[in-house]
Amino acid sequence: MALGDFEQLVLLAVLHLGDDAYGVRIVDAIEERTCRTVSRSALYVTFDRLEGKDLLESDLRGGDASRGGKKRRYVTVTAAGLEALRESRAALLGMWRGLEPVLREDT
Amino acid sequence: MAHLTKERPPLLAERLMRSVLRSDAQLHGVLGDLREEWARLRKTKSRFASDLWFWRQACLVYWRFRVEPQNTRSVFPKSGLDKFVADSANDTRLALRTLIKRPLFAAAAIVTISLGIGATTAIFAVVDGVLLRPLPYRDSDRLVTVSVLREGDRSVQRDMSPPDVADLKEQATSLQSLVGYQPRSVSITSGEDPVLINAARVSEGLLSVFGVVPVLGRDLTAEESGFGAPAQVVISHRLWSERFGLAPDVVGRSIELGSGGTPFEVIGVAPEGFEFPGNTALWMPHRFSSPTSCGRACHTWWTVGKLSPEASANSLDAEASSIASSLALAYPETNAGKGFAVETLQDQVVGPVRARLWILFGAVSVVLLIACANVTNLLLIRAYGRRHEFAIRTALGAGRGQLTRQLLVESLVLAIAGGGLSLAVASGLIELLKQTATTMLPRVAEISIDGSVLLFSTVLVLAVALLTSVSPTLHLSRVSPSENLGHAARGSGGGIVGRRFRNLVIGFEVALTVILLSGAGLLARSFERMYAVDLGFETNDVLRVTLSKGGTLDEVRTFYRTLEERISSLPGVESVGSIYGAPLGPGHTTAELRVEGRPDPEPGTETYAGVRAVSPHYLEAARIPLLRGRSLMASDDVDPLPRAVVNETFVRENFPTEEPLGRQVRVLTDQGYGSPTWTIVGVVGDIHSEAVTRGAIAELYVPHGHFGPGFMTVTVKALPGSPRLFPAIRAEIRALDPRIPLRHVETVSEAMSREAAPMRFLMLFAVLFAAVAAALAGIGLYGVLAYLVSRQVRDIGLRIALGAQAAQMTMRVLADGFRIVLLGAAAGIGVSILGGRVLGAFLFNVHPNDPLAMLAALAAIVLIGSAAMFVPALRASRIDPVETLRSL
Repeated sequence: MALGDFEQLVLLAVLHLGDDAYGVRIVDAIEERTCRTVSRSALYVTFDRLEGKDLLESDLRGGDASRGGKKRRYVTVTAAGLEALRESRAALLGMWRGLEPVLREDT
Repeated sequence: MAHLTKERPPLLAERLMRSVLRSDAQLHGVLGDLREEWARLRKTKSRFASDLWFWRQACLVYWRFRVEPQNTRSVFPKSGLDKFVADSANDTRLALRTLIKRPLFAAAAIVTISLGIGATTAIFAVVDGVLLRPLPYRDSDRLVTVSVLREGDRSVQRDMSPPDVADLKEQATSLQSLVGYQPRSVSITSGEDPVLINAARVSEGLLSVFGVVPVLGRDLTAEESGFGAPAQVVISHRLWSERFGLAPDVVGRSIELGSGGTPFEVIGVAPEGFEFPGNTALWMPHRFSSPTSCGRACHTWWTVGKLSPEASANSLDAEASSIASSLALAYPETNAGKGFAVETLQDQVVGPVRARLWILFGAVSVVLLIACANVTNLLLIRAYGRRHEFAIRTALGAGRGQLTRQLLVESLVLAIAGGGLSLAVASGLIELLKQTATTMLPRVAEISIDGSVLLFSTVLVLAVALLTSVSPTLHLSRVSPSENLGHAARGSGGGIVGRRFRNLVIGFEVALTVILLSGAGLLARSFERMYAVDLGFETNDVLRVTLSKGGTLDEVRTFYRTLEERISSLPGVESVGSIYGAPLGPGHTTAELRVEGRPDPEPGTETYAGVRAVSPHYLEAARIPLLRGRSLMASDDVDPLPRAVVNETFVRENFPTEEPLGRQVRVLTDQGYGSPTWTIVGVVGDIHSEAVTRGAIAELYVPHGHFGPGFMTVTVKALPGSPRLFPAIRAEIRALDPRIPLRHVETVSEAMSREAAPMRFLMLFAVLFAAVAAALAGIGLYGVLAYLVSRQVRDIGLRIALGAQAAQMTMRVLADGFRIVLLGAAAGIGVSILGGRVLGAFLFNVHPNDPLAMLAALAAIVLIGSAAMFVPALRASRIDPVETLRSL
């Protein structure tokens, strides 16, 4: 299953975060690593979409005062999600192969 | 930071998100995360910045989850509403994108719409605030006024006689109450400098008629008015605040009124905001000098009353007629030929301006129509440019409904943008209206952009969107894709039908513009004629001030003669005189006349004359020419034999074939000092004394020393170029009597300008609207011609290449343009001639079909048309044939 650019970023961030993967952390992780601002609304619809495609699972737990009684939606990558990431990586690497000299920045 | 724990993000923004978040996972995940982030942000940012961030996120979440179809489609099946919202959102986005791509077109359309809707909204706000909204009183639809109806000429006279009012009140069952009142100004002389305020003499308290109760004390009763009435007053809330500092013990205190400084006891305070009539600050009883001093012939009261709950103005009218007939039988000498006219208070207040405002509303609606026509044409032209786009979309399967909706949404976007901008136009125009109309428009303070006005402008926005989208939609969705594609490929001028339709729209615009232009021209001509009238008296460098001085006839005479002498010795003063009943000024008395040696006239055949009491030098100071006999002299003021001077109209009405000089006349009125028999010694010229637009009436000038009154207008003719004389005049008055207040301090030019205010008001806005209409029509014409030329570049280029002269091409464009302008103008002139009567009542000395106004309108539209055609025609002549051939 082909993944979108943003979908890949989300799945990778979830993998990086392990047990601590929920909305706020994922935003922070992507912003830190990519230096790009993350649209929260896009993130939430992406959760739904990835979950709809069985690439992600979520459960509600925890939460503190700052969330006003709302639980956290922790997400984990499913086996299908991992498989999709692998495919994307392979496809991308296939395309990158042989282009490094062209795109090297110091030339 | 302990307080932060109590803070929470904007509740409304959360509500917004809750409305689109369905599952628990979404609710907890999204709301919880955003709250957490907001709390984190709050530690470093201000509340405002954090809330702003939260709102932004909320809107984005709302947009993503409800509106963006592609993201949610797989997760949530769409309901009908969702589909509609999503489709409309797509159409709106598409419309915005197309409009942004053509900024000039969008700006032209938006500005045009904003002018049309803005002007219409402004005039509607005035119509609504002044005419439509009920008066701000309880049961205001039951408030009525009764006036005298002269059955001879069906004229209505506002003043009623006190006994007639009393009879009506007693006998008419349709009436719950009826109060007689007389607006006047009185001076408060308690303090340092006398202050002039608006007051009303009342036959009994007015408060109960309007359903309000005093905030302190009580109202005046019927028993406390008339002969021997106690010196008591009810004061307004404003006066209580300004004069007594809202002192709670004001009831029982006294206030000194009039130049005599008579103390009046305050018995009550009206509630805040109640100041009927006008801005009345004080209500006092009528205090007649004798039980019989104001009988059935004495017309001094205006009336206001309240209908019984089940009665109507019509039922009262019927009752009043029968009461009038029985009064005429009982008192034939005063009541024969006298009826009663009933109208609602609202009609009385706004009646004088109703027609004028509806005319303005009509004019502004025409401007709006022109604006719509312009935008329609702009859209039509653009629609032809987009045939290709639409053809492709149709070929690809877009339904007719889809295309129609998109065009409608585009019109709607333009209309909404124009509507938003129009609020600025409207509020600017309302300010202008309020400033120019303060003196002639009632209820000016009630004019505002409120809910109903906003609703009206919203309806206008929708109407404009519908109106402007209909024809482009019809044209685009009617033609088949193949045909459209073919046309688009050939890139020609867009079909004969479309061209005819556009020409028709522009012709319609030109016709409407000509109607407005000719109307504005007629009003401008009237205005000019009004200022060109020879009023019959001096109007340049004349200053006036009106004073009211109490005392005996001798005291009054001595005061004014001394004052006139002192003022005449001031530098820069040419001559000084005083008059009671100054032309275009206050204090006019018209009285019934008896000629000595003739039998008393039959009822209905009486003659009347304006009685003007003048000082010895008044006629000279006012430059009223002496035609025969002699003028009044200083000796006439004191000579035991009362002499008078009359005007030409007086002679024509009373002595058409006889010699007036030496004849004796009496007038059945006095000013409290008696009214002797006058011997006519001279005839002077007629003047426009009551209004510029009204002709002369019969007038009798009598010596002030014999007739009084204490209420006189001191008239000063200054030498041309003399400095401002008012301060010096005021000082002279103060030196003689420091307690006397100055009223109506003005020059005669100011009085004339006040007179002209209603006509100026109408003319100003008619000219303004006509100018906007003309500009819009010019732009519309330019747009159509420029488009035609641009579509025919190849055609024209070919013709030039084949030997046609460039001048011929110019002529072709001009001929196209002029045909539209002249046909439109002819239609416009035709309608103006047929509808001229509408304006007739507002014109002065100008025929409704005045040829000059029509010609001026024609010339203006031809001029505007030529200007609009100039650039396109020039472009047609400069098309390069070589360039054209190369592009073939």
